[in-house]
Amino acid sequence: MSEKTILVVDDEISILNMFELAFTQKGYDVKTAASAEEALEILKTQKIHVMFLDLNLPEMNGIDLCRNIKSQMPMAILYALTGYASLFELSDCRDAGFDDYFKKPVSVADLVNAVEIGFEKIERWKNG
Amino acid sequence: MAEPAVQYSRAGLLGIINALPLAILIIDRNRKILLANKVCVEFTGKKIDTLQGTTIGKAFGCINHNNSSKGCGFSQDCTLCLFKDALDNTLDKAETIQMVETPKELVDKGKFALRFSTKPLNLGGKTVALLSIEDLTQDKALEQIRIEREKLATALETTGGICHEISQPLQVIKGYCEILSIRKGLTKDVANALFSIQTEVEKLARLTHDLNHITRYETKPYLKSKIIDIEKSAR
Repeated sequence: MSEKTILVVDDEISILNMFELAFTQKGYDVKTAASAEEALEILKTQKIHVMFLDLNLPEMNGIDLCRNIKSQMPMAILYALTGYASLFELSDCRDAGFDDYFKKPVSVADLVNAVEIGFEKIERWKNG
Repeated sequence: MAEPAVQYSRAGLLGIINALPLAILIIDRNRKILLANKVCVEFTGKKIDTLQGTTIGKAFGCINHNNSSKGCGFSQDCTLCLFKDALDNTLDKAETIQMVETPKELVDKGKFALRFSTKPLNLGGKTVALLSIEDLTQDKALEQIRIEREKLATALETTGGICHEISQPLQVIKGYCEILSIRKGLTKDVANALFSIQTEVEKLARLTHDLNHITRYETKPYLKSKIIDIEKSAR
């Protein structure tokens, strides 16, 4: 598995397909999951450090998923994606440990930029 | 429905009406106040001696009480007055009228929301009307605030759902437009078409942004009805 693998979690398959194509074109390996449970299964076997989580997921929501992942991988870079959120939900995002927050529709270029910043951070942290 | 009038003494009536928390008046056929309780004094700010013998419209400062040379109850506007209608029915037909709500504009005091009832009484052998008035202005204002809050809560729930549903396809369209627009060898027509799609997506994105920032419920006319004014509501 490439060092630069991204996980995208969204219950809309069309969004997963689009992000997969966009990030693949930029040279990243992309794993996709349509639910929090599926994402946690992937993370059991693969080390992925940069993730995009939709907040509105079936069963476990994106905020709880973020808390779950952060408790196991505190250094992971997690970005929230959502179509709608109030200020209270944004506050919950920060509290859960999200590194940033993007409101759909977001520019792919902005997400790619976030991914690059995420990997740069991880690289810096690794090198002390 | 007509009721038999019970006979009361003036002093007995005054004792009863002064003990009640509503504005209570005894009105004769000339629309003059025969008795008024303490709440009437508080409401009008006039002394009891001033109120007694004065027409109801003048005593309370109805904006129409001086519109006719004949005084209270005779102007064109008085034909629409629910107080006049109820008092006429009570005094002429001995009808009891209960819990009528009506707006009323009073001189120097502004608009009020009032609820009143009338009942025929026999005072010293003459039929008079007992009129009770309750000021609902504050209650109505609070009710209006509650209604506006409920409307806003409903608007927020609705717009939240719409934002969520619209943003998903918008994200897909915007993403693919970006992916396609950086491909090499695009013809000018295709590049222009992609740019137009992206521009329209941005318009819809701004709309969902406004929907996300609704803080109050404002409407605007739309054909024969009203619709939510998203721009004003999100300001």
